[in-house]
Amino acid sequence: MPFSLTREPIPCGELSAALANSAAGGLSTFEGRVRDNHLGREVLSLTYEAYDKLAESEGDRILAEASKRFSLCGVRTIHRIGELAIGDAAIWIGALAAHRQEAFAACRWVIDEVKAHVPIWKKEFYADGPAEWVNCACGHQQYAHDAWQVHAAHLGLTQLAAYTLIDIREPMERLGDPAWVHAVPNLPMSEPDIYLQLPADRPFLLACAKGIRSRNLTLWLREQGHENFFSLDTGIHGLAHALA
Amino acid sequence: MTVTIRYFALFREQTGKDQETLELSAATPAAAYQEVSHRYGFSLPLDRVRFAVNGQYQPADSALPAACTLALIPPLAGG
Repeated sequence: MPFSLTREPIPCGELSAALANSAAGGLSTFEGRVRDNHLGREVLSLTYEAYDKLAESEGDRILAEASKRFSLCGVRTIHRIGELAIGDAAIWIGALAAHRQEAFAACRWVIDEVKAHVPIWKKEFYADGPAEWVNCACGHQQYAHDAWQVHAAHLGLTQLAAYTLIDIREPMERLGDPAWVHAVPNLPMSEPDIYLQLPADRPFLLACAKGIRSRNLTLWLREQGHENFFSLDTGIHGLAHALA
Repeated sequence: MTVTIRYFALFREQTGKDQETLELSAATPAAAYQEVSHRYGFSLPLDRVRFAVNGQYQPADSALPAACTLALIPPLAGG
């Protein structure tokens, strides 16, 4: 099984060594680790839970697709579940290809797909309050109708012009993007405090890669009373599609 | 119809169980969610929940087969 779940620490070095193929000139790996903060709150530890059977079948489907799409010589992903401490590896991805371009691209594509489709949940334990299931802000009735969520499919140029669009991805993620994306202001989410200083009387539309981070950041800002923030549901590239 | 419902994460904590078998009048995952939601007071809106029937993702308005296992999938946070 190229995708698997484990309750033990992930042996990243051994996994790298095991991905071997004499025709492969590049191995790209990604290790996702537990951070000590989430949207400005101090995180003490966390727990991952999975729907094992579906997680494994979805994970294998994603890796099979990556293999074809990027002509890989090998690919492996392992996600840890159970209780993790700060600094622990939560996921490891290795993509082996003839050349570096395919290896890098596959690694990035796999992590985005895993986040979007593999049934795994994360509960964070905070220093300043009760633990929460991430992305499930369900106690907040004011968000029930998702008025802060902007659907790219319903967005024309006129409606888009009403917002100031901000790309919240990290600068690395913008490499290779078309010119129109580079024209969009970039305020990386890794420094969330900067958003608190934006004018309160203008609506801002936040966009990331898939609409997950922009949703989290928008909810965080709104929880602090900044109701002039909105999240683009498709991610920034979905916008090009919607406007085409 | 008899449906075995599987609960994960937030839903597991809100119901206090991993799974249970219920007699539901629902014919689709969406309708089953509304019934169970009413019973336990779930506050997550339907459009944020995904469904798996017998271990495969299925649309919210698909037809539930007889004696199936329906997993309620709250918003994901893996990776």
